[in-house]
Amino acid sequence: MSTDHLPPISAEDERAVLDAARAVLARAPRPDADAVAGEVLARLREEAPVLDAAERVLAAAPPAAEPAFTALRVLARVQAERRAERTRRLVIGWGSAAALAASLLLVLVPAGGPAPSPAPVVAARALPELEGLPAADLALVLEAVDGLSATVPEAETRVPRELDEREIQQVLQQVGG
Amino acid sequence: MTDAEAVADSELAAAWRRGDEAAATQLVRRHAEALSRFLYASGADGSDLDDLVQEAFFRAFRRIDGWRGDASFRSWLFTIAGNLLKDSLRRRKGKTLLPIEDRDFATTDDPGGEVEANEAEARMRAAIATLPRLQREVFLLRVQEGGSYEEIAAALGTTPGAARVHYHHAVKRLKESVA
Repeated sequence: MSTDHLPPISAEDERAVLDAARAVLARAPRPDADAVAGEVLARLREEAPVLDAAERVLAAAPPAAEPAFTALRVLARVQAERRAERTRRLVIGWGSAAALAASLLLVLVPAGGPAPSPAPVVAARALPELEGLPAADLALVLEAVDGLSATVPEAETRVPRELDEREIQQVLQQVGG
Repeated sequence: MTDAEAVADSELAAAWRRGDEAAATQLVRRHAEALSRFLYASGADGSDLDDLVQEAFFRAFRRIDGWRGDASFRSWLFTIAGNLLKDSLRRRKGKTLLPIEDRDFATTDDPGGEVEANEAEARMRAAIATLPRLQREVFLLRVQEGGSYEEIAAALGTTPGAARVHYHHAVKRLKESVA
């Protein structure tokens, strides 16, 4: 692909644009690189093993199981946050992840049925997609489900729906507590 | 080039693959500021910058094997950050928010000139943020890193010719904002 067919841009115009863009770049806030490195390394130690396990689950899942395994991945992330016991600083996507996890937890219980029986962890264990999962990964997933299920009020497990902001905050508080 | 920079990114990445946390820290020190500039110019909300920078490094280090070396580590990192920013903006339902921040106001002895410069900078930043994604990333990689079209194309998964065209369109559109 060439630019021959495009209207030319004069060197002067290009220089003006580049100078203006460099002025923008120069005003960007400077991050504290050592603080960033510390946070990133802490997360890699604490979260990465959990995420790796969840992704092994995802990789082994048939395509049709994607929604349920997306839920499990998010749950694993939530569990990682709980395990880490870090400052309650919200990570990217944390709010929506918690909402998704709480919503998708409903996948694991019978919609409209008497909740929460069977308990979500039992329902999760019964998912056919989890058959053949290595024991350690299964334990991790079930632990994640169990951990989060304790944070969602029973009534919320009856009807699948998006949680509102207040409920999300409630889940966040309970998960982080 | 300092002694620390004499160690290539590829060597630091290889050390990190072996679990060397000091190597990862060195990569963060080397690229965090440039990454912040890239995200800021791309329209990231100032309050999200730290989290986006952190998340980009987190994902890069988890997926370090995904960096094959055909683009620079920094360009590869920028593409990860670009994906993160896209997701972040999507969560805001497509709204690109460019809040007026303290540094957008005059602080010098020439308040009139400073205000004018601030307004020009804000206009330019908003214009960059509203470019189509590929145009924006090609443009910023070219301006910030001085990368060749070949390297930019490798980082963004396009062709050098297409990268050149994206750059051309970006400059043309941004010219309107500078005028």
